[in-house]
Amino acid sequence: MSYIEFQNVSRIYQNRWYALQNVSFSIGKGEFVFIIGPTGAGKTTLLSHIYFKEFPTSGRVSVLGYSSDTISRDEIPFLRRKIGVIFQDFKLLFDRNVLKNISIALEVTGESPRNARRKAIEVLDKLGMADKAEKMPNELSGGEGQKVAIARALVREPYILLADEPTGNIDPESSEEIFKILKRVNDRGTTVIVATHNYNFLEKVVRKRVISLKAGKIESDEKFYIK
Amino acid sequence: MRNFILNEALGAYKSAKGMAWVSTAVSFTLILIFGASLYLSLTIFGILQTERRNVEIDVYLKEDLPREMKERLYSTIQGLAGVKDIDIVTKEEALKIFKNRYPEYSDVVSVFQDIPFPESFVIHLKPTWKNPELMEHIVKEISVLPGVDEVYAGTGWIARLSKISAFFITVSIVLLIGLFLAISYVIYQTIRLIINSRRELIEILDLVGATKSTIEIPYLINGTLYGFVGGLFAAIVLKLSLVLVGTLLSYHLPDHWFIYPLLVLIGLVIGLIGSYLSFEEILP
Ligand SMILES: Nc1ncnc2c1ncn2[C@@H]1O[C@H](COP(=O)(O)OP(=O)(O)O)[C@@H](O)[C@H]1O
Ligand SMILES: [Mg+2]
Repeated sequence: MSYIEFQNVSRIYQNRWYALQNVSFSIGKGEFVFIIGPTGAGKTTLLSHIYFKEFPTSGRVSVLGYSSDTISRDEIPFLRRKIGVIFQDFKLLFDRNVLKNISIALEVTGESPRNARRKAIEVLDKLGMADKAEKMPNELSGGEGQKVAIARALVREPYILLADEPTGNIDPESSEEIFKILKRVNDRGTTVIVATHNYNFLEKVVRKRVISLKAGKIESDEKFYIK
Repeated sequence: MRNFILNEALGAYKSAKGMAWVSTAVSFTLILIFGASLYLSLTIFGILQTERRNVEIDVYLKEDLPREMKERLYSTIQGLAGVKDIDIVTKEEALKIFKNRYPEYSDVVSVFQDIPFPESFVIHLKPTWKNPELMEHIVKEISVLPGVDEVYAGTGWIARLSKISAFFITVSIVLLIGLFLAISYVIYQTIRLIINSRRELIEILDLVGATKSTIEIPYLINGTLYGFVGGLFAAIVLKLSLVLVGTLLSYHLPDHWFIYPLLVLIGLVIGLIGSYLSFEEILP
């Protein structure tokens, strides 16, 4: 069963240029997908359609049973609870500590503060960050910041993890660690989609699929699956 | 979630210190002015109601009217629209009333051979006719009747009081509209600032699947609080001022209890509307 399906998706921003043009593909459970292409190719736009932050100008996006044609405003939060997203700039909240940054994702959807806290600690522990729980985000290194963002994305045990240039702001050593984590997440069955213009990281994942974008169009879509 | 909403509402209130004070102070001041104006209108209106109930028309008869003319006059007046009943005040009764009212002058009156007071009819009107225009009309009708010397009705000052009351009611309504606009605008701006300063938080909440209401309720609570607190203080200050003025004048001022909850309610509703407008405009 496919988790994500793009059918002839085009997206035009301000009636000027195609950020996406006639894009079609389908991504299933457990895939590790790289979306590659130069800056401005449409990678971020593509990811934004998966969690319905953007909607296609034409065509249809279907994700986990929701379709861009029929999803209502009120349903979008419920889809988002099944998708984790991380960004180049982490998007942490600087007015609260690491633990709160993670537990907030559960608290705002009805989890009790105690449960939210417990689950946040569990996730931090799995990422080897338990000792940073009480730290404030500005006390963290780049790699640690991204790990907190990953923890926040994972705390809800999503079906899909989206990463937009996840290592764009961090040193190579930490980047390596981030990719190890993403692979581990993928190994446990989560579909992982990484958008990047840094092709050096492709080799870090062996079993992968690479979708290459150029000026909003799919240039190639290759699977590197070793049985 | 409840925890989050309350924490966030309080946190936003704290972080908006300056603007929160301005919002609350503006709500307080304007609601207080409105409350005072409403109090005045109601009080004047109250006096007016009581006085109108007592209003009557005095018809003084010419001297030495033949009995049958008096009777004809009586039945003519009785037949006029708006007239409920008529008391006849004889010269003797008029004298008695005068002596009762002004005992210090009773000697003066006794120097007259004749009783110096004319006979009169006191006309009581039907309740719906007790307003200045209709009374004026009746007075005119009666004063041209044969045998009538003079007609007196307290319409002049009632008309004046009516005008004052109408004026204050108008002022209250204008104030209510003005304060609705002014307060909701200030609260709207405050919540806008708060929301703008919390863009990152809102973005994250949106990202992790918080519903629209979870995101918005903290700011709704905030704006409502500004109006509510303003209204509450206005109610308290109005009540205290009335007590104080009453004590100073050693006069029991009339009270209108429903004003106080009304002021609080008005603050609350305006706060709610102001904050609702701001995130309807700002949030995606
Ligand atoms: N919100 C937006 N409004 C207008 N144009 C946009 C917006 N977001 C992206 N674009 C344009 O769409 C194209 C694709 O952008 P983006 O998806 O961010 O590419 P990438 O992530 O691959 O760098 C670019 O030309 C960019 O300028
Ligand atoms: Mg991008």
